[in-house]
Amino acid sequence: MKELNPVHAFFKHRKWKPFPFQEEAWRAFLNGESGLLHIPTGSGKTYAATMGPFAKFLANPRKGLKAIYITPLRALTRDLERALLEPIQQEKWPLKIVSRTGDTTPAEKKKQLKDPADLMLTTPESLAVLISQADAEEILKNIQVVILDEWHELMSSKRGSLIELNLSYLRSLNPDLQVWAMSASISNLDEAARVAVGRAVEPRIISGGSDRDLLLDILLPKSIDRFPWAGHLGLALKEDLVNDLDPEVSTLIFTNTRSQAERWFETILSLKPDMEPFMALHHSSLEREEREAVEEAVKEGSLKWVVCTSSLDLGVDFQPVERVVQIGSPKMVARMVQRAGRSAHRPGGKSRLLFVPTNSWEILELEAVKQALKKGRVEPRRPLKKPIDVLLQHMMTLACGPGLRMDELWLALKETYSFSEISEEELKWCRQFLTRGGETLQAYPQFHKLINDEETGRYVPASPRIASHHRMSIGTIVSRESVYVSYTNRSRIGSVEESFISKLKKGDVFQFAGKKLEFVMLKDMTAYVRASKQKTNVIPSWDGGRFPISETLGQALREVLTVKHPGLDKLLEPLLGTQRKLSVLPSEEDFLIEEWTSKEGEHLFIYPFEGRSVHEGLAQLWAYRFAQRKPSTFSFAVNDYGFEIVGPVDYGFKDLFDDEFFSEEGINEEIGQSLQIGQLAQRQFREISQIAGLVFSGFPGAHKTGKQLQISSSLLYEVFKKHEPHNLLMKQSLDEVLHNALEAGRIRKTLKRLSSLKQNWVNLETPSPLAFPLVVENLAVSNLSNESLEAKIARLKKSWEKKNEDTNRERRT
Amino acid sequence: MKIQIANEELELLPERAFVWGKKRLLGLSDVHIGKAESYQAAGVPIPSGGHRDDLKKISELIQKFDIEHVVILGDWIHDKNSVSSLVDNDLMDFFKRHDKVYWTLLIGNHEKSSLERLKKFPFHLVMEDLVIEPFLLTHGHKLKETEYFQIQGHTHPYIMIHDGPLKLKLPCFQMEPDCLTIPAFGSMTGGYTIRPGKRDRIFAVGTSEIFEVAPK
Repeated sequence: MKELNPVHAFFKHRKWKPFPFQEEAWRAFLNGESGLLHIPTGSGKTYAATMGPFAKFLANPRKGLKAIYITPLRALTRDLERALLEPIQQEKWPLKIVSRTGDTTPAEKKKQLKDPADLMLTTPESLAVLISQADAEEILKNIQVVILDEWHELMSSKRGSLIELNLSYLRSLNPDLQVWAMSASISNLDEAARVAVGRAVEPRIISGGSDRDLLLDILLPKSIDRFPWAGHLGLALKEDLVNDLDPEVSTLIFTNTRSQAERWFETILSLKPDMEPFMALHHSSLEREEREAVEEAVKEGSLKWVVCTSSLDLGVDFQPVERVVQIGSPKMVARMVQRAGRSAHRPGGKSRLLFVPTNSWEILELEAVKQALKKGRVEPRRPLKKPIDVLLQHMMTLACGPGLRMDELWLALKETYSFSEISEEELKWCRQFLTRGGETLQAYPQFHKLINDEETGRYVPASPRIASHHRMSIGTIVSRESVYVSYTNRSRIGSVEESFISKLKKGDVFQFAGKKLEFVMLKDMTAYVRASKQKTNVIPSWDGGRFPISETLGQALREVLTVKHPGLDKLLEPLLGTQRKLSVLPSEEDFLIEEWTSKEGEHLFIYPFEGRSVHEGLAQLWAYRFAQRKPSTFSFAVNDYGFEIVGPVDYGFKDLFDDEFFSEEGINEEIGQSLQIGQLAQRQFREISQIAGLVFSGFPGAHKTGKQLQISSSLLYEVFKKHEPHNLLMKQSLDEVLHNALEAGRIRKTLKRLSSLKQNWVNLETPSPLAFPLVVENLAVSNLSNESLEAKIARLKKSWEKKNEDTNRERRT
Repeated sequence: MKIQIANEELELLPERAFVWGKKRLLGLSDVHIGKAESYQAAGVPIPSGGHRDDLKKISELIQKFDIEHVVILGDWIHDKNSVSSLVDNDLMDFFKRHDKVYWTLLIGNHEKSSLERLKKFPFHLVMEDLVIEPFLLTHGHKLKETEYFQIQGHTHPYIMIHDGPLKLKLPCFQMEPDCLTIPAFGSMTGGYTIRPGKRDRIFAVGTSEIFEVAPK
């Protein structure tokens, strides 16, 4: 194909040879196809995706924006721009690239309009903002191709749904639009491709760049006697880890949560204070400037050890990084592989990862990862099913920009993967929601958001204020109740959750961003602090971030529990041997149920090994079924291996249990009844109401808008529950909790599997190694309970009475 | 829950109001009638009608305690957009039904713009504060120096209770040595978590009971 001549020339001048998958991708593109490139980072995927379009534009030059390249992070657009400018500048191609993200200034945006580039690098949110502008159609009408980076990551979140909707608009402007997505290894590549290209096109899947050799090492404690059975921090191995780290070798140290990152950073620093100038912390609650400075320093090589969270999971090319450490189980096979891949970025290089278990059971999770990899198993990433909140936001975006035509929207949605099954009823509900507020005509006399322009037949915003509010709140990333942390000279360090600050008094010292800070005061949603030299153990914690073990990994874990583990069996004997002695070490064919009585009551421990989300749902379901047979209130604990239900002493779980517990009938209703679900749905509603534009999170810079517009989503939830229980957003909250958070589909699968296994009931004298982490979890986290508010208050009063008695007794003695 | 303040007996109610039996006086604050309408005007679809629950609750309390005087300590109407014929008609009916009751409304400074509208109702309008010995009833902005015991609204207090793993956030009455702050009465009002002082007594509101919160 002679269009490819300039591309081949570039490669020749650099003395490179294009990979076969790159040639394949270019030809597929020039043939008008759409599809997915399954290529690991650092293997040449960027050129595979972009050289085809470049070749076409060089062969048929035309003015106007012709290509959009979407990435998940603003930081990535900068690196990509550099990479793409190389061939353009070297070969002197008459092509122009531009970036458009939240960082782009209004002046730059204006310039982009007047003198459009050929390719635009942007984020899903910035593209939506672009569509919401009045001149959207002018700018976007010539788009021929959209490239989606890190699609496996974007696809399974609401950002992916947002992209699908953006694409549906672009397709309405150009029915021949080509879409190419780039993805890491997942088990459902075909589905991922279809989500990207839409239903009207058959996608092409091109794989290339072999997954490199993966070396997984584990840091083992010398003796398991001193190594805990439960816990997530793993500081027991701190000295071993620090001795294993090399000050000359660039290393990324991943932890699973921000608190753990802070704790580990401080720990490593205190063991090796000389490393201070060469160490850094990186997580999402740190100020962006700080994070970018760390990223640059790693690229230059001036930083050697960086403790981070998933904040460093995506793309950014860190050539110098040679080693990756993972503290605690990453809970997904794919994540382990991806993180290992951050080391050795040259194509063909080896990936190495050192795994640091944080409790004894996690040692086996690494064996499970190896098992899964041996069998070629990796997780799927599933798209969301027609999230209404994102659709409502998209409808507003269209209304603010080109205008919303319901008939065009209907056709556009039918061509998407995730929204194609939307019914006319549902779409009508959405329209009414935006124009009237809801179904009952009399119920919203003052409401106006969208109005119908009779001349054009399009819906448009009722006022310019509505339009500007909307543009400012576009996005699906929801702000939590957080508070900025700044030095008293106003220089900002990052943010923490409001609940953490509310517990601090003036003078309290805590660690954040790797520094010791003394709390001075809270003003206007900012906590002011000064540097302190005092020691402290207080570290903020952030809600969220604990991912459940994936189905793939859980299954592999069940398979490896009872097999031989060469090199590990002697070490694991105290753990596994004790489990065998006190109870049973379950094989794949066993379904283990343990019972234990303490002064708190009767405990039931159940081990499906399906991850905490599924266990939360199962616990609620079975508690409901137990309570149907013998009413009671229970408390629960849940972890990735199993769950615990605690009832009153002598409750008699075993006698009440029967085959009906495995029945799949009425699951949604029964789980839905539990109060705990109501609470979870309310929390989910918070996210949904922000995305759907119900609550306005505020103008940037101003922290609280006038009290007039501030309404908490929990109030809204109560109001809707009472007056509009069939509200689609309420339904979405419950659905999202049941399907996504609680994985209702997996609950059915699990029930089926468990019913076919051999039940093993064991009576314990003392908690087994498997039960112990659940007992500890219950003490720590127990807000999972199916008690009403009255019951909770009664319990509270009783507890106070008892404390009073105890103090009085102490005083007397 | 009955408590003694300044040698008078007040009853704190789980409906989030208080009754001074001796004077047959019902005190409540922060009703925010018409909040739904204000939100609708700003493009947030809150269904109208929430005010009916609040008016019904007040009627029931008037009947139950044989009330002669109702004092609203401020924020009766939400804001200038809280208008609709539905709300106005309901309010007219409500006051007609209770035409034997003496109504007092304390107006905070920020409500001055609604003065004209408020004059339509049978309120005895008082700017900022009212003395009924030994109490000084005020909307908010607790006075630093006064011989009277203050009762105020406006801050919508909530208390956060921790007992081991049990966590509860509930509206409350905050009794300081010189001032009682009452919770917001309106059903659609949010609130702010308070930090009680060492000498405060806190009375939390459960679903149908009031209980005193044990000090830490």
